[in-house]
Amino acid sequence: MGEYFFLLIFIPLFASALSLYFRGNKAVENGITLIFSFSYILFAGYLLLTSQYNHELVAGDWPSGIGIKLKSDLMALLMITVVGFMYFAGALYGLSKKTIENHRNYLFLYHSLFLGLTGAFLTNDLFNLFVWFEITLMSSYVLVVLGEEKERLIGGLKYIILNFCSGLIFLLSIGLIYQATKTLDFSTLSERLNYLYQENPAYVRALAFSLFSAFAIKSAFFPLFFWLPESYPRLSPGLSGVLAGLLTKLGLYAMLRVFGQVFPHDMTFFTVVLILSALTLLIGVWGAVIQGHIRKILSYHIISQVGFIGVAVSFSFYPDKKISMLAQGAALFYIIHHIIVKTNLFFISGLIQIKKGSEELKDLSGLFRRYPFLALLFLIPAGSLIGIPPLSGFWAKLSLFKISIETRYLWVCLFMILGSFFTLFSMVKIWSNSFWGEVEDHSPLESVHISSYLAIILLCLLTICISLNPNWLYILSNKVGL
Amino acid sequence: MNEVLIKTSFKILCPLLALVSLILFLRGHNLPGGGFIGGLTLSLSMILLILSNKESKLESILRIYFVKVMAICLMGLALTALFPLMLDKTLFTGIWTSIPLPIAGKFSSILIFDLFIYLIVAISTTRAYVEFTDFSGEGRFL
Repeated sequence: MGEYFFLLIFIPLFASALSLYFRGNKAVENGITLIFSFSYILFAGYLLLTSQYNHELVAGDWPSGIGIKLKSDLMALLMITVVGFMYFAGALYGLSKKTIENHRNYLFLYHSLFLGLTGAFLTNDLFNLFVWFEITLMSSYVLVVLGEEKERLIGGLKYIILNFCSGLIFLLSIGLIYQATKTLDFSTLSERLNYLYQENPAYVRALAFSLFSAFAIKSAFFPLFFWLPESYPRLSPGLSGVLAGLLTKLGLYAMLRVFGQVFPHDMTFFTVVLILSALTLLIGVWGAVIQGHIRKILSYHIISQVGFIGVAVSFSFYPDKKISMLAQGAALFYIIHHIIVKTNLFFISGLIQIKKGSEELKDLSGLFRRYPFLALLFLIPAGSLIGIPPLSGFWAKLSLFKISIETRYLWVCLFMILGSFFTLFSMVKIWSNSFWGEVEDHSPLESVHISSYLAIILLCLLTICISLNPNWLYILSNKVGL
Repeated sequence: MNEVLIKTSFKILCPLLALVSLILFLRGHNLPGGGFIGGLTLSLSMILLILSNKESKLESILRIYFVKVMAICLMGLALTALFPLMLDKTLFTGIWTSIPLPIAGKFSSILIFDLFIYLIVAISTTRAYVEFTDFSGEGRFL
């Protein structure tokens, strides 16, 4: 079955075509979405658990290097399995009308978003990475502006313009790389770049920086993160959860893949990316501290978590081979943990918004008395995001600390401790203002469809599974660098 | 502007452009042309038809069937890409038959794949034109 891994791309493709055909017929559309997203997880999980990876395919029977090459390595399959869970959870969460955009094109675009993501993970060629990136972003552009509120359109415009620029930079740097090496296939590119690096290190460094700036915009690095808190909090809960969990992490995955595995590991480049990540993680969380709107706080948390993952990603191109392999595993572990937790937090805060009609902390109080179950569900991902042992965030941060102490970058540890402290501070702010306190307003709460709770419970269970048995995922993600 | 002159020339141009687009589409495998460019040329011909003839039914047909045709074309693209698997070949492999065709040479599965691209590009470009020039606000967001 392993050689049929490309069917993973076709599952969301068929789902998007079918949901377009049955557009307007809610029952059929929802059925298609659930069936296809569930079969996506089943197939990806089957390939991962039976370890049928490292299959290659060149489309159209062309010789390697000419045709489009797809490859299912362990890193891609791990990411795809996690994305599959988000695919299913997002579909489940969106079954009720209140939680997603009430628009007839929503599901078609939702499926094409996942089509682009799957392709981006499976591709083995820089130009195809760009194409799949664009498919993902194109669907997200339309999804972001599906509403009609003014603030949302302004935020969406910023999102679109900035990501457009990043796409342009991406394409131009691909052109430069092709001009220098005459190939874009990852394995040959890696050889030729290493060869070029011995002759002219500055040129390769420049290529790496130009490509990095494209990925940095997409994954909301300091100083180009401002599109993110402008656009995400204004979307519907279901959509913002999926986008918040997946899109920035796609940029980080691309960095991990391209700079960790293809480009030669350069000390200067590493230092710059490390400093930028450290700044991102601190400045992002400072943004969270001053906000008073739940999903805005969470959006700033994404930026700070991108900084954390950025630290791991930058160590993945540390010149020492052993450290770089460890860091690749740590980065992958962190990305997986973060996708699950972040999507879940957005889903839960969306439920609060639907129930109370507001997400401003000053309007909320005493949710714990009225909804103890929701508070419990919130506590699991929130604690995990901060990194309270034994939740999954603790294990993710632990390996980061281990790597930075081993390489004697103690100031990075200081940044990470400060970042975690402020994350704790802003989480406590959400908790004490919305969950604790007296019940002030006794108006009946809006009821929510049970499927939304099921999606949240599914993600909480995933977090708990990783927390209780981090070894399994840790060993698996550490095999990636080999 | 002399409307009669423009309209009459549009009427001549319309079928000519459609013919050119067909030729572009058929020669596309080895020569410049192909589904995408052919589709754009066909959409030009359809836009001219809408411009020159206010009573043409093309616009309303596009409004009704646009989404279904897009969905079927998308599905067709995916199925043509998967079809070689049934003959134990790799994904996207072109399957050539011995049926002769003018300009294109022989009939192949690549031509079917191109046909879907041709239709998608032609129809969606025309639809976008109709949408952008419609100020009544009826067909908002497709």
